[in-house]
Amino acid sequence: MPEPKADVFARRSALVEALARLVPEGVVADQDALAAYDCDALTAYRQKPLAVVLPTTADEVSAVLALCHREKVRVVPRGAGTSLSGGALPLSDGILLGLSRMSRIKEIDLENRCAVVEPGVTNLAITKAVEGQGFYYAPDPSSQIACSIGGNVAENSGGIHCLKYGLTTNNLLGVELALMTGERIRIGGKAMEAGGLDLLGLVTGSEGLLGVVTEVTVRLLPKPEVALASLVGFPSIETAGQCVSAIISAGIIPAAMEIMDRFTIDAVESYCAPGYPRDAAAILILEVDGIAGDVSRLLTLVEGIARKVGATSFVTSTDERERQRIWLGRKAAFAASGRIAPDMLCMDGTIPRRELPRVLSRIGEMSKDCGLPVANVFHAGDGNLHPLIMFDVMKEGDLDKAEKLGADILKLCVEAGGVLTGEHGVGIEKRDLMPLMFAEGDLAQQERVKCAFDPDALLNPGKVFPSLSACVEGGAMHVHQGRIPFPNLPRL
Amino acid sequence: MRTRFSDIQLADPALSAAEHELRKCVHCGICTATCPTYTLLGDELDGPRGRIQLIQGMLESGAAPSPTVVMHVDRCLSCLACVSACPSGVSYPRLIDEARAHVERTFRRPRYEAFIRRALGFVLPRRWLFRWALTVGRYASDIAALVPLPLGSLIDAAKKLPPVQRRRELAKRYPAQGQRRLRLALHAGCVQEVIAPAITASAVRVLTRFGAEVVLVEGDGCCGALNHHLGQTQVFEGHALRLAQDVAAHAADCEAIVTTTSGCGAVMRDYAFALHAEEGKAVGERVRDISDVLAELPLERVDALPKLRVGYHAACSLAHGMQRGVDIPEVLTRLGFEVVTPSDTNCCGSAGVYNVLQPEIAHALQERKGEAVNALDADVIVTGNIGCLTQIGAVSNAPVVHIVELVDWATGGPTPQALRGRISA
Amino acid sequence: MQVLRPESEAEAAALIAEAAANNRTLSIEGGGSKRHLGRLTTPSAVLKLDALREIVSYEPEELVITVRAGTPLAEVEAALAERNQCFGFEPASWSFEPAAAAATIGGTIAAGAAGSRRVVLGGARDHLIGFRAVNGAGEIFKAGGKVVKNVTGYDLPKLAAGSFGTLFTMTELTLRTYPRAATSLTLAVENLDVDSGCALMRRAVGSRFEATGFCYLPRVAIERLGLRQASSLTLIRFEGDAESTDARAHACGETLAVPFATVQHDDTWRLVQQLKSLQASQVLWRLSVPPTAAVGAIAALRPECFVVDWAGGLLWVEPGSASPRDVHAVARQFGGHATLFRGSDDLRRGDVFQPLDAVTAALTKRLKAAFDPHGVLNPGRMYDGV
Repeated sequence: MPEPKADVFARRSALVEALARLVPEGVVADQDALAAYDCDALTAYRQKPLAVVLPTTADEVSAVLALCHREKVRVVPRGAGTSLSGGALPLSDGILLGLSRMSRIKEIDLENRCAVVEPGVTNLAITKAVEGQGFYYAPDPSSQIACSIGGNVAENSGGIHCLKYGLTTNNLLGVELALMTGERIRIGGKAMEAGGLDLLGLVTGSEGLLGVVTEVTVRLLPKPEVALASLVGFPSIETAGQCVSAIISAGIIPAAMEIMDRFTIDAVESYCAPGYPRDAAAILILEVDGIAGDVSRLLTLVEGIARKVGATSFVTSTDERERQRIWLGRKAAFAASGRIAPDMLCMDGTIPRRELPRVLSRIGEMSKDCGLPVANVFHAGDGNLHPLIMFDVMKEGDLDKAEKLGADILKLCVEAGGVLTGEHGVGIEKRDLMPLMFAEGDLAQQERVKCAFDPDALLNPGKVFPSLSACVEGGAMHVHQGRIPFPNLPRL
Repeated sequence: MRTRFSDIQLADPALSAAEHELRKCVHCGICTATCPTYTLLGDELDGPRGRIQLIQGMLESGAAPSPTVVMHVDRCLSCLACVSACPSGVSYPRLIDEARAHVERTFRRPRYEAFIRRALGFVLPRRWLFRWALTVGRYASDIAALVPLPLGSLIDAAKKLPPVQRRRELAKRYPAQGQRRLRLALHAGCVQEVIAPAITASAVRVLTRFGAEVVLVEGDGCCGALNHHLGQTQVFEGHALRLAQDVAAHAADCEAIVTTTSGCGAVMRDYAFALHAEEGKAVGERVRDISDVLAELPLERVDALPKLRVGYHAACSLAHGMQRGVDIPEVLTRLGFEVVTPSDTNCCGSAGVYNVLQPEIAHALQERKGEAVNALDADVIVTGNIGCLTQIGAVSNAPVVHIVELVDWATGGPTPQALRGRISA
Repeated sequence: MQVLRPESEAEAAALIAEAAANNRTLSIEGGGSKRHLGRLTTPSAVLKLDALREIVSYEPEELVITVRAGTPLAEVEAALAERNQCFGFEPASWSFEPAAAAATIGGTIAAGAAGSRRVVLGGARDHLIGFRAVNGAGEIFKAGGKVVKNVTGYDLPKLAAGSFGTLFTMTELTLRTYPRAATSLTLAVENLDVDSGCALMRRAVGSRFEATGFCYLPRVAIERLGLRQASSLTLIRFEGDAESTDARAHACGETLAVPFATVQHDDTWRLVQQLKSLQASQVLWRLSVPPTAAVGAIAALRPECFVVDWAGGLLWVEPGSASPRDVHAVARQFGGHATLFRGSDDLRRGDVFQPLDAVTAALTKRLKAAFDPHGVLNPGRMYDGV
């Protein structure tokens, strides 16, 4: 992480006072209380922030940012704290800016198929607010009951229905963004396209490094007439993977295709008993939606393909409650692993679908070699893997082993033509692996984008990019060991 | 999660149990969204995940917590919605209960607050004393505004209760009508017996009507839940042990111990852990909520029953504490009612004495629940816990009755007091 | 004007670096079919990428294709069609005859030229998943990846689409592909006024029948196309296999409760993507507005001719007497933005794109500098100083 600024520690009490004036009743500074903010859903790294501030309005957000900008204090934005990549890991000399109190739904405009919400509104709350009228918000990360839409924008969150409906970025119409200076800009709105450069696309998935989202306009979709989920059992996880490729090759794009291995099935069954086949080595959960006739024809086609590849069972939900139950199990999979091992690391690489069987069996071998069990539960349709590495943080060396295995798995993904992260974000977790995918020049170009937004590197520094850069006019400059090369020379 | 307890600390069974649960938490944050105080206050510290971290820090250090930590621990309703939500299976009661006990042991509360807590823990479980206090309180209601919170809110609450009923002597055993199908012990409770004795009467009628012999558990009736939630461990254990002994003495031959207050049931269910004694286990394993029993009885409705729209509020102690109650809508539907459930599934804010100790939060939750309940446009609201009955009763447009009262009426009993004059057959 | 035609990415990089070193500016071009787009610029030379022409890899089962930037769009689409696939965003030629045929994939994406299907399946931005490019300093870099689901690093592909070559010069693009529908069936409703037509489309787009096109043509546009006699046409398109499109189109028509006809493979959609009814327009504006604002915006502009697409979200407007200032004001008033799509050189020296507020304008300039510090690439094409 960036070297903490000693002068900021010295000014702590004055800063806390100033923040309390800007956001009365919204500052946490008690040392014991700050412990509860020392990480998000990635617990391997922990750091108490200098203080937490919980604004309730966009003006308060602006005021806090302007103060920090003036005082050169770092800021880490945080939504619901459900990031699996440590995107909201605090800095010891930084303010943690929590958006959880901004949780109002401002407007629902069904004629224009959109909703305008504050960043702290949970993903699921949007769907809950409009489902009565036959609409929903499509991206559905597993943590959707808890994660906030502001965090979804920052991380470009995915979910199980990305295959057909896209990630967060494909389902946004506009945001209001507070820059580090406290100035706020509106990008897009209710129109399908925003004018100018596509700042909306750039900001989405920027992991809180470019600005703080203070309002989001999301696109709503009409609920499909019928949505059915099928549970398909396979004798091995590799055959399940083959089935997915075969379905896509046949020109069929189901609403979702998810694979879970035996390990995960057992964990989930003990949590909520969704009725997954107990005899299968892996299951494919497949959802098809649309009008009734289309759905039943597609299911027949898909079942034919699955049987041909070697499916041992194929059961389809008969009503909405059954469908929900099937998905409840899938969505609980990460956390339910807590029933099997005390700690887990959740990886998130994406690979080309054709590589699924090879990569999965290689992961199995790697798991055996290092002695840590790996559960596989993933978005198979997108080739987005989520190997869950089980370990015990209290066992000496286990965490190191788990992290090493995780890095090796991601290396494998990149070698197979894939990427480091499909939906969880780089954060702190995969930061140092970025050079696996990007050359120095590629990263330098990205960092210059950061400089255009935040030249003082105050907003969530230390995430995403492996090296620390200083911004010079018109770009970024790499700083090695905290030293600028030739410090005595004047810069542009 | 990583924990840092010493071996000496882990020798304490309560701490060891807490450590076991802390290890299970993966910090995913799913629980926060289901926590009433988190959704209201938007602060990690007021959600289960944040509380768990505060509790961990407090228990590991063993020292007295800071007032800030105590404030956030105090704000927990113990509604246990987080337990239902937790995919990792963390048993949150092991943590919050131990935390409360720890606070009680180590933290010096301001005098006034300490007095109130002690007074509540002393008065409420004693029927005679509570009855007396209520009567005094009613006269004192005029000065409620002058008394500082939370005592003022207590007096205010007393004012809204129905007039104090005289204690009726209840017979020990009520024979089954017709052939006896089973034998049940009925736990009457303390607070409920004072402010709504009709509930026990209804329960006796329904149970005997459909073939159960009912044995009323005598004694104080208090299960200790109130003291438990106040962190008054020893007092709680005293109440619990007495109740367990009463059960052992008088109801050993009963198939189940039935409670009509799920708040009590949820605590009694855990007696085995709390008491470390055979009596505790005997209670914990056999305690059942009345609604669960109703689902299994061959209920038959009377003919002249109006078609009512019934709003069902699932009490947290039943839904999350006991993980039961899913059958209730079906039971009521079978009796010919139209059943609807409120969109707000959060705690109503009653939560034992929470509404007295945390009046602002309790009030906000009550308002929210009131809106949701009134949006149902129901003829009557039913629930299964005395706290919810009074809390929702204060804001609901429709009358609020206990499930067993409605079932009693539907199967031939008298019209519940709250429905008289409001519902025509 | 001097035309530079690099044969490789490295050569392109060298040419750009040289231009940067010599304070020269470049106009970036593929086939040159979209020269009418954007502000009028006076570059020192044209950097023409049509020699970078190759399908690098195409894996139909992965739904991904990688192509060099100068590959003609028609060539790529033909390759996709061979494997029964297409681009989901329905690339629009956005050109005027006869240059349209020259459109390249790089230019299409850089202009963000998406067609009618954008309303459902997303725009060019949503289908570009990775690229290689040369920045204004002549440095080669890559961004994104070759899999659809990817959040590693900033989503620069989004920024690339619709940046009109002002930030960097793409040399290679990776795009997602989509299974090609066997049939297209159009539900046509005649003689609705624009208000009812737009209302009908909004209902249809909010319904469950998964239509993939919603457009409205007034009498003038119909006449110019020489189509059947009608005072207006409201068209709703369904794509898929025959059984499915038939079922959905009829169910949708019944739900909407209006008299309708169905047309198999209606050619009107192609005409709409090609702006056929607006080929003669000397001044043409493109407005993106909230669907409910379409009617108000049209009324405010009192156009000679217009076409409504995206169920009201997109307006092609041939304005009467409205000045650019008027059109931008109307777009802003109705919560959208307007782009001058075709106009005189004089008009193109003014605001072509919707003017930005001060903070966004400053940020846009800083972003430009982050990629093109010396202002070599298409300077001024979008905004003064960008």
